[in-house]
Amino acid sequence: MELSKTALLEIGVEELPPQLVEKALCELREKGEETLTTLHLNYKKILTFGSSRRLILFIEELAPRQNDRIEKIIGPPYKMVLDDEGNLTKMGKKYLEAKGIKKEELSIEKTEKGEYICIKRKKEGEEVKTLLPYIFFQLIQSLRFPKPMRWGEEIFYFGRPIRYILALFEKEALTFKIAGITSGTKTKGHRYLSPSTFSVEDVHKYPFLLKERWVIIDPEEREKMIIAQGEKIISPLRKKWPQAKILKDEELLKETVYSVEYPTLFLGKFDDRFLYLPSPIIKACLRDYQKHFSVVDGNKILPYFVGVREGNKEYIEEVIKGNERVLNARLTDAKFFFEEDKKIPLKKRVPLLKGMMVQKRLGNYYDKTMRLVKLVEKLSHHLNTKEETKERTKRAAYLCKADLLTQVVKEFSSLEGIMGKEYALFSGEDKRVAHAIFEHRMPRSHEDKLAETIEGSLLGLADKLDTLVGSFWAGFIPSGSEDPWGLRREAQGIIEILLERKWRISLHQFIKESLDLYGEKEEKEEVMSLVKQFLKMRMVGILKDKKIKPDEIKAVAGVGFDDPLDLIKRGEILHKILSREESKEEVIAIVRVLNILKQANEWQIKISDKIEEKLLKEKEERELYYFWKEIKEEVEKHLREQRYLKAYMKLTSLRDSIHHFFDKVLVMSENKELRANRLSLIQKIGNLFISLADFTELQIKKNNTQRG
Amino acid sequence: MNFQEIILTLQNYWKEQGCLILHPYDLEKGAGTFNPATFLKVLDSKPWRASYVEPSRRPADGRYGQNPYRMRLHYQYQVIVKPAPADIQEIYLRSLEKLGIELLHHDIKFIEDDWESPTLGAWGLGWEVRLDGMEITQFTYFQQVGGYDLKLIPAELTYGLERIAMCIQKIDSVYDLNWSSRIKYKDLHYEEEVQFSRYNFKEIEPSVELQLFHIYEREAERLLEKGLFLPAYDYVLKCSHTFNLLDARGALGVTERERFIKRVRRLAKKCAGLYLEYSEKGIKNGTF
Repeated sequence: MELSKTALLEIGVEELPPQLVEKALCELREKGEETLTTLHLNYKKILTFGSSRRLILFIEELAPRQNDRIEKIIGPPYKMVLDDEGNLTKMGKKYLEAKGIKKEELSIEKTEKGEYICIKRKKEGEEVKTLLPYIFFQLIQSLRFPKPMRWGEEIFYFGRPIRYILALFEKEALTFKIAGITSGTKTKGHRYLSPSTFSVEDVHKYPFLLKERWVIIDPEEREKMIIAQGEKIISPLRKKWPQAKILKDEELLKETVYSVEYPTLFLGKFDDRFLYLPSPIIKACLRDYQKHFSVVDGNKILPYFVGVREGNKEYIEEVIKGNERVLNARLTDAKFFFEEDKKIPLKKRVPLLKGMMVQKRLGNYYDKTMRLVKLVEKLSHHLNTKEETKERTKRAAYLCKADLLTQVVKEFSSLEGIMGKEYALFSGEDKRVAHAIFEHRMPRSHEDKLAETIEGSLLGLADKLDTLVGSFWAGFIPSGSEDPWGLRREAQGIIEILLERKWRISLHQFIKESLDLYGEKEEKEEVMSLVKQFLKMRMVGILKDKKIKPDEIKAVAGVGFDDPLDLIKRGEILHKILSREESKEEVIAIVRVLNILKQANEWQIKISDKIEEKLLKEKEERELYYFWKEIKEEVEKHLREQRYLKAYMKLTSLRDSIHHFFDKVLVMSENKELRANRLSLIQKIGNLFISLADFTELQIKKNNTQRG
Repeated sequence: MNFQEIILTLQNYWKEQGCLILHPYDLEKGAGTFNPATFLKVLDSKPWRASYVEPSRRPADGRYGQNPYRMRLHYQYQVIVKPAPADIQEIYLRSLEKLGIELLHHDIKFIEDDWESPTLGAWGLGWEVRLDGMEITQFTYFQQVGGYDLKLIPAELTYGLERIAMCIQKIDSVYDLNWSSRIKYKDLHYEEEVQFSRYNFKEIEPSVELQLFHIYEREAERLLEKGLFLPAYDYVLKCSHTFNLLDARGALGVTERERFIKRVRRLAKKCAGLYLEYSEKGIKNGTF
């Protein structure tokens, strides 16, 4: 048997945006796996490595040739080729001639549409060596970038220009041409430490040859280097500040890992006189401008920064000096902005928001401010918040967008709300108002916390709702993976705030309140339903995260999702209920109830509003009736107070009576009066179950009803 | 290396790379991209290599001479290479070496930067090149200019001369730069910064500039109708600079701002369109 071998592809590029590299590598692996599977090529595994300068793919233990396989060709319908006695028809003869086969080679394939002629042919696998250039070509062509570009004279799109391609199969070069480049065995070392081109003759030597030339191809290894060096570099500071550490910043770390091929960390210092600036400004200067990590001692920011050099330690002193010079200049600029901003009290900026557009159709930020003040008032009223809290929230709503006009926020958009708080404090606003301004954009990211104050939560809720509703109203609706306005995060924030605060609201009511503030518009209903569906998707996501099964989610959402807190609670309880052994039998009973109601509904059979006791003829229906009557009020009380588990346990005590009822009583009686009355009893019981979930959506039902 | 030597070195280097050595286009502009040697010359399908110094005026960046490296006027060294050769990054790095910047003594990074000029209807992808954290060059592969997809993709390299000089001379403030061995940057530009900052932020008469904008806009329009896209483009530049003045003065609300940009862009696109017609015809007839 021939030995399996390793194939290697390296796409040498000019610096790709680092945040795209991980995605590109992932795509490369997934598409690679897909292609190899479709081509019937066996392999052990696909590994990817790389940086912003190269995307690397290894296919390990790749079989030397495709698997032999039987190829099936479906031909014309059987009857057109062979007659009833199994002899060839005229057309059949022609068909065989055309295909160059004998009658014995024909077989029959049964399909949904009928019986068809089928030819089976053995296909010998091709050599992988001849397929690889084609595979690699396809792979490169299939990579997608959010902003693809052209370069030179070529009509070819990629994230950044491709400058060389290395393609090897063990020791053999694979040649193909793409984007004006011919693949070969040449690659490059580190951009500065080993810039010359060199040749790789053996796949297995590739990682070592690159390491010799100062390129660490494995992102995980680079990350480890960065973390280890960070620890080491910070330790001298611990003499003075025992808690000194690098401020954790996963996003920046990831960006750094992918942007350098040989990371070397360095510690620099900035001028103490900038320490009086609010720490968010300092952090933003370090991070957003310079891509440095901040150094903190507990909550206190220290006048140091940690940078990452592309290269080794040689001449690092010069690099540090240069970076310190630049950072001090940056901080000087930020200080200038901050001092200028402080000259105008925040409240005086509010009217100036009229000159700042939100989005073309959404009016200006002053309009938004006015809407927020109204919306928080309505929310406060609905949620029965204290008068002082309401007033503070309204004040915060009035001020919360004013920092968009400050120079610092224009320079660092990530500081929206954060600077608002600082300037509010400078202008003598109430501390809690200032804090609510800070909190109204929370959660700022996936990892961020939620607001701690009621004011912050209320304003955050209003701000997100207003953005979401307004965007849908103006037609900015996310589609597929596209969400340029970040509306998913806004929606997620709405649900998270409601759950965390345990606030019960009607989404319908508040979407409408919010929409009304945008003024009259005809297609209100449509917008409302789109927003609701969008929010529903977020709730479904949260339920999934809680490990609640898809059919359970469908069951609870199927009976309403207007109150997110209620929906999530029902989801959790239904999940709990169904994890019990005895639940199967219970669900069968409930589904019997619900199914007959569905049927009655479909056939438009009349159901009485009230149950007439005198019409209950059979023993089993009376038993069910009295049982129901006994527990009814208690169940309803539990339901009103969202004690769903208790309500269900009580309700499900009807299980045996329900079965007896269905076994003995004919609901769909010829007697219309009896029928309507029986359905009425069933409906009353069904409605109680439906308050929790639509049990007919559960998978369990299908298995069990099939059995029965 | 002093400031004028830096310019001379770059000129020599790019001359050797086959660039024409041109001169500033003598109208106010915010960046070297506005020079017709870039804006118009990248549009057609004929190779083109040029480089020049361009004084770039950004009134909003004025700091009364108080900021160590933000000014309302700075000098760009602009290189435009169409189509960009495959080793353009290496060619660029060698230019830094010519300036005495040892690549191994520093940290040089190509940091993602998507460039866009809404006024010129242009965008491209590339990087800002950082030298020990200082942005010294803007490196862009233009994709679209004047609203037109480009046939040959050029690389535009824009060196920030003051910033490079600050790195080379290891100096913390632009005003302390040595322009020559005897003259400092502040001797030439400090008073200018102070006066123009005052003018830009406080003394500009918005009503006058608004009138001028309208006049320039009408002139551009009128000349375009006669097919005179070169003089028309001069008026586009004047519009753009007047817009920058109004913007720095804070005379435009956000909506208005957007509208003004759109108006300049519309004119710039028309110039680009007429230039393309002219050049393509010329290429066909062998006269271009």
